[in-house]
Amino acid sequence: MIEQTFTEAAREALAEAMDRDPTIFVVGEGVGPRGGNFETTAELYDKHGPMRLCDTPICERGFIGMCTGAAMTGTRPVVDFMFMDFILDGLGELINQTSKMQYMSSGRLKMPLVLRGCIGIGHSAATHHSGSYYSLFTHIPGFRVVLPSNPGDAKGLFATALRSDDPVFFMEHRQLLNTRGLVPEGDYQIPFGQAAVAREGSDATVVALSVMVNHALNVAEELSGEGISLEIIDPRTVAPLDVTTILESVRKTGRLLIVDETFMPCGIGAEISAHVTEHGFDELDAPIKRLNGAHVPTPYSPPLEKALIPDQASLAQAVHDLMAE
Amino acid sequence: MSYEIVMPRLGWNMEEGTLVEWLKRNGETVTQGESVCTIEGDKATTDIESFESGVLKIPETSPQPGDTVLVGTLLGYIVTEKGSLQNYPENIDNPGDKSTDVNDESKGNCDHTVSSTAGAVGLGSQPISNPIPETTSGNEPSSKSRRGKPMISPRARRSASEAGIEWRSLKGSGRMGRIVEKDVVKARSCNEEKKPGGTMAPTNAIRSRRETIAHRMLESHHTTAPVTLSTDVDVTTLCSLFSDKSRPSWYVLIGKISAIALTQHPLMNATWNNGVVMNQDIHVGIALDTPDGVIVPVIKDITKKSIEAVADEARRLTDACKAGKLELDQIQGGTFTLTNLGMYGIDLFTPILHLPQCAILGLGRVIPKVIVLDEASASIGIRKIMTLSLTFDHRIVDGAPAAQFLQQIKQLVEEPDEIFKTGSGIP
Repeated sequence: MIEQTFTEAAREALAEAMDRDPTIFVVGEGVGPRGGNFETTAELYDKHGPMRLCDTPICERGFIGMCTGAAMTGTRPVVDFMFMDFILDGLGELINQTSKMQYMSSGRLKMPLVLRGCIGIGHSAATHHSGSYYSLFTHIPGFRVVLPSNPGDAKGLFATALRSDDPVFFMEHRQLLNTRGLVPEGDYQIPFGQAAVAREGSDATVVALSVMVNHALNVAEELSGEGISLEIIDPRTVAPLDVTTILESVRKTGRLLIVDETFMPCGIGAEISAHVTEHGFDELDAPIKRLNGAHVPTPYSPPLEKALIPDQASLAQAVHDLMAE
Repeated sequence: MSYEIVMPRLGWNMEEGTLVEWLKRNGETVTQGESVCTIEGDKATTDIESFESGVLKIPETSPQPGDTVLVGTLLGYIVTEKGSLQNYPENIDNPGDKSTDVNDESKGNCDHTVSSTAGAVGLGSQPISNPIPETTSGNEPSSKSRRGKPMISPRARRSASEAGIEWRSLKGSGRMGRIVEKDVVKARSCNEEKKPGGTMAPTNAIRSRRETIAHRMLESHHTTAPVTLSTDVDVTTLCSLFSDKSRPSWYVLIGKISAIALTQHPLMNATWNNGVVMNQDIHVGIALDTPDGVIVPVIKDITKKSIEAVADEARRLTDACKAGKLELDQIQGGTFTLTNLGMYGIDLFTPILHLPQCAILGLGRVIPKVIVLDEASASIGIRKIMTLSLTFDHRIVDGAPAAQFLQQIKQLVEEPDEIFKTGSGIP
C-alpha cells in the first residue's frame, strides 16, 4: 500500500493499462504534451507519443463519434473530457450510437470506450462546469457508470473500466482529485456492481455517492458520540447498482438516507428508494429519506454555491430527522 | 398543508390595508367558503373567505385588529390536515386567543374575496422552515393514517406479529405517534418480565391470548352442534398395571386408548371444513392450563408411537408450555383433544369443541367408589372410578355412533391388558 492522490492513483491504472495493452489510447483536449488539465495524463506523452495521447480541437461530438468508431473496430479509446459537462454536446452520438451499437450488431461489435471527466460542485466553476449528470447515463441501457469516492477505489475501478468491453463513464469528483488515500500497489481491479460498506453501523443506513462518502464518514464519527451508529454504504458504481448490499444493510438498521450532491428529481436516490420500498418493505422502520443538492443551476458566487449542496451540518441534520421518524 | 392568508390587493392601486377584525378565532375550524376576517381597503370594507377547510392559526407576529399593513403581509394560516399542525413553523405554539370576539353572523358572500396560497409570497411549494439543500423531510407533512388507526412502520408490524403482540394498543414513539420497532421491542420485554407473576394487569401479549381464546370459544359455541355424553369408567385394572411411580399421565394413557378407538371410529377423528373432512392420521391435543389461558399442544401420529415415546413427548410439550416456548407447529394440526379437570375434583363437565375437530374428551377425577360387582349375589366392592365426558359435533356424527365410540373407550380402559403389556411398550 502507498499513499497517493486520487489523480495519481487513476493515472497509475491508466499507465499500467497503456503499457500492457497497445490498443488503449487517450483522446481529448490537452491530453498530449500538456498532460491533461487535471494532470490525468501527466508524463504519458513522453512515453507513448502522439498516436496514443491525441490532442483534439474543441469538438466533443466529433471525437466522441470518432472514438465510438475506433472502439468498434478493434481499439480501446479513453475519451478525457476534462469537465464532464462538455460531454453534453455529444449526447446524440452517445445515446443513439455508442450505447446501442452492441445491441444493433447483435453483439458482433463491442464498445470498449471509457468516457472520463471531472464532475461536481464546490470550486466556483459555475453553471456550465459543475455538472454531474450520472442519473442521465444510468437511465440509458448499455452504459456503465462509475463513481469512485477515494484513491484506492479510483485505481481499481479505472483498471476494470479499461478492461471492459462496454462504454464506461468514469466520473471523478473535482473535490476528490487531490484527496489522499492508501492505494494497493500493482495491478488490481474492483468489479462493477459491488458496493463497499465504508463503515459498519446499526441505527441507520446512509448511502452516499462520490464526494458525499467523505461527509458521511465524518458525520458518522461525529454522531457516534451521540450514540447514533451509522452504516455508510458507498455503491462505487451506479450502473450496475448493488441493491443487494443496500437491502442487507436496511434489514439490519431499518432506516435509510441517501445523500447525493446532485438533483433530487429522478436521481439515484429515487432509484434506490424504489428498490428498497419494493424489496425491503417490511424491513423499514421509517420512511426513506433523500438529501440532495438544490434543483437549480449552479451559481458562481461561493457562498451561494456552498449553501446549495449537502455538507456535514445538513447531513447530520438529515440523520437526526430520520432518527426522529 | 398550510395556506397563507395575506393582506390582499383589493384594488389596482391599493398598497396598504387594515385588518378590521378576525371573524374566526385562533385554533378554530374553518369551512371552505366561510369568512375568516374583515379587511378595509382603499374604497371598501370586505370579508375574506377561506378557500380551504381547516384550522385557523394566527401567529403572534400577525397584525392586531386595527393595524394597517402593506399588501402581502401575512395575517394567518389555514392548516388543512390535523397532522400538519406538528410540522408547522415554530412561532405558532401559543394557542391563546389573539383575535377579537367571534362574530357569529358571518357576512356571507363578498365581491372581492381573496385567499392567497403560499405561492403569493414567493415561497413556492416549500414550507418556510425547509432548509436548502433539499430534503424529503418536512416538505409534505403526512397525517395520521386517514383511516384513523394508529400508524405503525412495516418493520414494527412484522416484529409485533412475530411476537404475538397486539400492536394497536401500543403507544408510538415515532414521528406523528407512529409505532416503531423499539416500541414493540419494549412491549416484548415488558411481557417477558411479567410472565411469572399471576396477578399483574394484563399485558399486551396476555390480552391477545385471552382475546384469541374468547374468539375461538365463541365461534365454537356458535357454529357447532355440541352434545356431551358421559360415562363412568373403572380404571382399577389400568392403574394396577403400573406402580404409582411409573404410571404414565392420564393424558398418555387415555390418549393411546382413544387413538385405538378412533381408528375404529374414524368419523370421530374427522374435522369440519364446509363438510366432513376425514383425517388419515390421528393427532391428539392435550389441554394445558397456563397463567395466560388454556393452550393445547398436539401429540402427532400418536398411533405410531410407543407409550414411552408418547409419555416423553407429552412431558416435552408440557415443559415447553411452562417455559412459554411452544412453537406454532406444536399447537396446530390436532384431530382430537383431551382435557383433564380431574385434579380439581371435577367429575362430569361439558368441554367445548376445539374447532375444527369433531370431538373432545373430558377426564374427571379418579375416586374410589362403592359399586355393585354382581347384582345377583349382591356383592359390592370399592373400585377406582373416573367420569368421562365426551362432547361431539352432531353435524358430523350422530348420538349412536358417538356413544359407541365412548363405549369402546370404556371397554379398552376396563380391559387394558392387551394394550399395555407391561414392558413391551406396544402399541
